[in-house]
Amino acid sequence: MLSNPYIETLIALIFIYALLSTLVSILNEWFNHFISSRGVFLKQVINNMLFDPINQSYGYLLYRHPMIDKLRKDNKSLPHYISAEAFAMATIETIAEDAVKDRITQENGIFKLQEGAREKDTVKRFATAVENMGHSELKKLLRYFLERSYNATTEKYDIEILKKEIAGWFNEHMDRASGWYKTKQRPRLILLGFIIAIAMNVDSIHLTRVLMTNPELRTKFVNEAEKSADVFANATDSAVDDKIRTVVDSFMAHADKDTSPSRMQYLNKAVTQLKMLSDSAQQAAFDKSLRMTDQMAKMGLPFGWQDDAAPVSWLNKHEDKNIHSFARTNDNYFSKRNQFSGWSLLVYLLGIIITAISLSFGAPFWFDVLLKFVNIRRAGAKPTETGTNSNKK
Amino acid sequence: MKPFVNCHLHLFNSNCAPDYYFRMVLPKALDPFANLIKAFLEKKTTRWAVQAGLWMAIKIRGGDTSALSRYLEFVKIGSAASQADVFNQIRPSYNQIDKVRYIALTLNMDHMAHYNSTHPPIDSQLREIIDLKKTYPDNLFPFVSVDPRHLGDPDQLLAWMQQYMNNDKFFYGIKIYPAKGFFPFDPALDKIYAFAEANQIPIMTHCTRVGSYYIDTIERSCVNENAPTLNNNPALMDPIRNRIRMLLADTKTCKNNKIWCNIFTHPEHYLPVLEKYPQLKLCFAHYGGDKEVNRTTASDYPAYLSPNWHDLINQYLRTYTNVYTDISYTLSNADALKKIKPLISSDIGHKILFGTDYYMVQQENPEKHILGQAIEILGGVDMDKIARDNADNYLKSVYYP
Repeated sequence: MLSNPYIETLIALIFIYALLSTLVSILNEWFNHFISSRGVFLKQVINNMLFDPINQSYGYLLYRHPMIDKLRKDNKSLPHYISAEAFAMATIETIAEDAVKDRITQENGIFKLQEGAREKDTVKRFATAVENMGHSELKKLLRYFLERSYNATTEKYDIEILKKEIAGWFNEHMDRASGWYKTKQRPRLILLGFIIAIAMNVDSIHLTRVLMTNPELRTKFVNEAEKSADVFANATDSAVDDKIRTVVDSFMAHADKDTSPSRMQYLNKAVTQLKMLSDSAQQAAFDKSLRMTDQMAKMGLPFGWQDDAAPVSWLNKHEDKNIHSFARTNDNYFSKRNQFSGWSLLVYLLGIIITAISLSFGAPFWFDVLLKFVNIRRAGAKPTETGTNSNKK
Repeated sequence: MKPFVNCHLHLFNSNCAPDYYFRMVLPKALDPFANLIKAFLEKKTTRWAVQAGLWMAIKIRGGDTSALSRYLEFVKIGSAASQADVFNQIRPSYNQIDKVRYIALTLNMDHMAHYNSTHPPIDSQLREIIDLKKTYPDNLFPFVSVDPRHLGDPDQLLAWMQQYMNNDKFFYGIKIYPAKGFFPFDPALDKIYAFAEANQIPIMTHCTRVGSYYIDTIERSCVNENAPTLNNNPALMDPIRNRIRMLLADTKTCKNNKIWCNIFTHPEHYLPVLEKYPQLKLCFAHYGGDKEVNRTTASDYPAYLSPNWHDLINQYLRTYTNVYTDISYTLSNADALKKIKPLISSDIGHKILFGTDYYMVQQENPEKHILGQAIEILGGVDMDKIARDNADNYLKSVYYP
């Protein structure tokens, strides 16, 4: 096993980022749910797919079709998920409706709907409606799907093939759209990273320095990191989110044993407000995350807003600022950090920015990186007492 | 008994409005953010946050929060997912009235500015209304919105409109909204008016100084002292061209769309149309507006946009056989409604229609309150006259026998 304070510090740091990223993810999921982000995005994607400046706005009309309309939770929300089959059928039906000739009749002053003769074959209605469309890119695409659904033997269109063609088009588009969605989320994840970094006062530069100068703390987190990496690696049948949940649960096994006061009072207060606007599953996720971050702080990480640590210490008038509980040596760094200067402000802000951007990469990214570094550390040879190394591989 | 008709309401939701629509209400400095602000205000959570913030600000400064609540209620209705949802919110207000019909005025918002927008165009708005008409064939009577800039060709425009107006389709009248950036005497509307007069199809036009309007600059608009017209009679067109000339010289007013767009809506600008089509069934909506009725129009309207619009409309009601007006939105002002009441018993009383301008009027009061106030002030006899008898005459055409 490779024992190197730099590698160990990196492993500990990556592990801390991985855990904090889960809180960023929970906040992001809560916010997405709150503003129906997925539903709005899905609607935009479908509008783009069915955009037609010449004919109707079929994306808009698709959402009026009962198959899609009934997917709404209430009359203000949008469906977050539409299956490819539902999309295909609703698209066919929406366009086919143009071939139906209903009319209004009047008798004795009362107006009634007289439904027009309806071609029973949905695909025939669809084909008629497509032929009647003004020439557009969408018409060309729909005609292409129709032609592929034509069975030369029976000389008929096959609705199952037509549905399959449109569903396949939808699935391809959604695969790309999920990438676009993740890209779109990025600025928000960075913003949430900043919020967490500031709410918990996580300065990456200071955190790194503390881990480098405190072997005990470093070892504690490296051990936790290795255990977590094993848990993550062994959960081979689970989805990534479930693996991460298992890792957090395993880490949390320590949490309930420590009954000392919370060090995350501000974060607790802020999250309590958000919990009021959450459902029970989200509240449970928030609770777990709060306990997790508290546990991390109680294990000795320099989190939280303390009087004896920057930036709160900058406001204190005490002469001796070198009372930081993380100072294990007479390192000038800690006393300089706790006193305000242009340099300490700059370094602090840089540390917060690094935290924010790091957290925005997400927990799956950091757990993957953690696995790699843990394996590197396990693969490297321990230096022998005679000074020669042997590669255990 | 003839049906009770609300001859002026809107069902289009914010989906139908262009992405840049909010430029109309925002300060110029926020124009680049108009699309984003529109997207945010459509989300109920953001409206909740804005409402909470503004409510606190008003309370701290000391003021009435009811106007804010009403405005946000208006935004809430407009943010409904579909036009059917909007319609379902007005119907309960009329539960106590027997046999109600609603004239839903669609609105073409595709030409309010040159900016790009992803909103569904007018045909999709109309298609959705057709579905709603199929559900409520005896209650809903939509009008098709016509804009001379649509399709860019008068013959195509007429053919387009006719496809919605013939007996198979579902529309019973025409809505025009010149304040969106065109003159009522635009030659592209010539064939539309000819068709409407020949078939006695009712036209509804927006005629108040306020409301929504063309968002782009005056330079990009059709405002030009040589603007083409369907009727070149100099006795009618010279004063109009003079008015346009004065507006173009008034550079300060030219920067304020809310004011200069009155040039499109001025009642005198319909005279070339009415001279050419004297039997045209044309309703000047809103009766000029409550400020014109009460004679409290703000002084920032320049003199060349006078005279009083309410007086002009009364003059046309007396001059032209088939000119109508309605009390929509104006009825929200009790003083204005009280001034209108004696006119209902006068020589022009058979040409005044009942309408509310739902859901725009939500900014003043809920629909039920508006209706209740109208019944209280006008009384049952006058209400029946304007909502049943007059409305029936107004709607009569080849499509509404």
